[in-house]
Order: sequence, then structure tokens, then C-alpha cells
Amino acid sequence: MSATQIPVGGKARISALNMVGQEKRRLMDLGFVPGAEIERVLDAPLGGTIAFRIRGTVVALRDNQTDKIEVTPCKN
Amino acid sequence: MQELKQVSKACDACGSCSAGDKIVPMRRTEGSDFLIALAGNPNTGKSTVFNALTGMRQHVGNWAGKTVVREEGAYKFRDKAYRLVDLPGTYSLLSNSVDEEIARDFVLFGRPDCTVVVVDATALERNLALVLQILEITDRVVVALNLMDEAERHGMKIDDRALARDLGVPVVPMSARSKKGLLELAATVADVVEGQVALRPHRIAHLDPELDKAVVSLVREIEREHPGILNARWIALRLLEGDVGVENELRSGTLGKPSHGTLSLAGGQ
Repeated sequence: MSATQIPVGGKARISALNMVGQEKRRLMDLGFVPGAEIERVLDAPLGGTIAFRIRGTVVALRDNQTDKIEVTPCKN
Repeated sequence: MQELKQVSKACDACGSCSAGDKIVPMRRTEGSDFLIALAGNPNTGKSTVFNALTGMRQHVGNWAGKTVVREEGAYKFRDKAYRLVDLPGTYSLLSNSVDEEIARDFVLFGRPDCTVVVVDATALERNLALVLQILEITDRVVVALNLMDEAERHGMKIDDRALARDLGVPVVPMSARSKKGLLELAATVADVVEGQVALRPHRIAHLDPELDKAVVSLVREIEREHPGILNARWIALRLLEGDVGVENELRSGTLGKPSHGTLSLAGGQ
């Protein structure tokens, strides 16, 4: 599933980044790599942006990027 | 009191530990013996470390454009003068924003004698990505494990020895804000530039033999076209990745050249 489908407060593990080039590079630099756990921390009030906790840091992404992050839900 | 005085005198006379060492901030950066780069993720305390070593009061973040005055200072330690360059915070050596390019170019092509990577002890996992990237291109690295006070407050314990062993370079726990660990950092940097430490930087093995073959042949071509170029292997990997920025700079010959960014200090003033 896509990372946009993680419920608020829920966690998931990244399985793939469906993008190429600089966009993928940037996300990987920030820690969004396959195997990493992300938590949906909060949503922007008017939508369009979601904040994720990754490796101890909160990073906000636009939905068009979040769409391309493939995840599998975590058990806990 | 009398005894204490004697002890401190004995310390001054003996060079075997860092207790008698002093960091003396210097006004001038010319004629220094060693060039040290300060790299790290944003907000890890690079400028705090910089200010503490050089006695300067630079503000963070004056790297907003290409013609910016770089933060540079100097200090004296064990009779050697160190020129310290404070680089903009960067998550990676692979990205394309201007300030990150300045940091990248300096580490790659500025020929620092040692690169100090300041890492945030409370977000170690994220910070180590940059450390690994820097270890790919240079042996002479010291990891400054900063914000240890913050980490302790969060109940975190960090095994800095195991970290140093795994990374293959020295790791210095410190809290630059409260000036803890500065002498140890200066002493470790001194040991590295003087060749007193065995450095075995951790390198990620490229498992794909096809990739290795491509890298080797590309390196040969890059070096033929650009004799004397530094870090051809790193450049080859970027080209294979499809990094358009690096490709254009290599074509135009501006990659790591003084005209590009802030590299005029490579050979001194």
C-alpha cells in the first residue's frame, strides 16, 4: 500500500520508493530507505502534507511524494 | 593547595595526556599547518564547535548564496596552527542545493587534512548516513559525537567505543555547548593529521561485479579526460546514478574548481 494510507498515529515499514533520480535521492538522504520504519505523526489542517517520524526526526512530505512511497503495515 | 599546584605543574611538563593541552584561538588563518573541515547534518552544533575552538562568534546559516563569505577560523594546539572551515549543514554529499554543494565540494575537492563530522547523538541513525558517505571518500575523519548531554537527558546510552570500532575512525563524545570534550576533539584531530592513529574506515562493499566493472572503466576515462582529478571513483558512481548536476560540472570542467562555490582556499591564500 501507499504511505498515504497509513492511519494517523500508525506505523509502517517502507518497502519501495516508486520514483527516480533526484527526488528519490533526496528522500533516501533524509532516511526514507526500504526497511525503515515511518510513523504518520500528523496531517496538515488543509491537507496536502503529511508529517512522518523517521529515525527520530519529523519530516513533512507532500501527498504527491507520499503516494510513491510503498509501505507494509507494522504489527505494533 | 600546595600539592595541587605541584600536580598542575607536573601536568604542564608532561605531554602524555591531554590534561596539559590548551586550545588557543587565533585571529589569523594564514600560514596554518593544517586545514580542517567541519561537516555534519543541519543543527548538530557545527557552529558551536567552531566557535568554541576558534573563539569566534559566528552565527549559523550565512551560506544563503554562492558568493557568500565562508566561516573560517583558526586555533593553535600543541604548537600547530589549525585552520577550521565551518561548512553548511548537509544530509548528504549527493544532493543539489547550493549550500549542500558547497559542503560537498569542500569535502571532496578542498583537500582538508582532516574532516570532522559533527553528529547529533540523539539522532545517530539518521546522522550516520553522511558519515558513511564521507568515509567513502576520505580516511582522515573524526566523528564528533555531539549533544551527548541531550542524549543523556533522554536516557540514551551510546557505546562510543563500539561505534569507533565499527566505523574504523575515532569517535569523540562531547557537548560543545557546555565545552565538554573540546580538548579531546582537538587532541584526536591532532593525532589524525600527524598520522598517530590507525584509520580503517568502514566502506560499504559493492556486491555487484557488473557495477564494479562499469566503475573501473569509467574511472579510467574520467582520469584520461581530466588528469589529476580528485575522487574519480565518487564521480563515476554519480554519473552511473544519472546525477545531472555532476555530469554538467564535469563536462564544463567546473567540478571542484575555485570558480565553483568556495574552493579558493585549497592551496592557501
